[in-house]
Amino acid sequence: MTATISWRRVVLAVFTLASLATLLYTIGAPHTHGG
Amino acid sequence: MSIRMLVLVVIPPLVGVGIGYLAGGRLAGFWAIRIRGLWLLWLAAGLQVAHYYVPLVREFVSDRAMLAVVFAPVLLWLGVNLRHWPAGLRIAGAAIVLGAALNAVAIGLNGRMPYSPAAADAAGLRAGITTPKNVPAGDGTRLSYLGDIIPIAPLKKVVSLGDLLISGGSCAVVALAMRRHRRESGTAQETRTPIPVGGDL
Repeated sequence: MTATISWRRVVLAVFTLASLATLLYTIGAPHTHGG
Repeated sequence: MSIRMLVLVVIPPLVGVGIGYLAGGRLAGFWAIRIRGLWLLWLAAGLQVAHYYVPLVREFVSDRAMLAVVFAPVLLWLGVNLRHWPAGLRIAGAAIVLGAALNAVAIGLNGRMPYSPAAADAAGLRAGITTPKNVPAGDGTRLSYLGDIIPIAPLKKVVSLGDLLISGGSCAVVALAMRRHRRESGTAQETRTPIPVGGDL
């Protein structure tokens, strides 16, 4: 039995994680010079 | 967005992935909880980018109005998802809401997010500069302790208590969502439902 990777799910997982990463950028306001 | 900012925002979900795997979870857990309306987060991010980099936006939209415009899609996203999520994930989501609320109060009261010049100095930033989103805290600053007061020297950033709650909450959302896969698999085994092997990340 070989476990195969579903690339569609990989892309969706990366998209979901990237979406969650935007939280700190939007509702967080870390101080930085230049954004 | 600078590389350091990119690192700062991706750390919480990536730490969540690490914790999720250590707890026996899998990324496939995301499908178990169904995260809806992710486009709302990208809409908010796009509006935030516009506020930072498009002078015309800053000219015509006040800082306080922009606060509402950027926060609204994110809070709507949380509202859409929280009611469908299990208890643990709701608590993590509530931490994000609380963090957002603390930041919103600080920004709302001061027009922009106040930051501690001392903390900026400790983080290796030049203190006293006003940016589209941040203003140095002074005597007239209200609730300055809710502002950016925690220096993250390696990334040259200063974050707030609200930012820590948002980071911790998003980290927990990822880790707890990944653990749902284990629970779903356990339930499936108990009921002797065949478990698809392919696609588990």
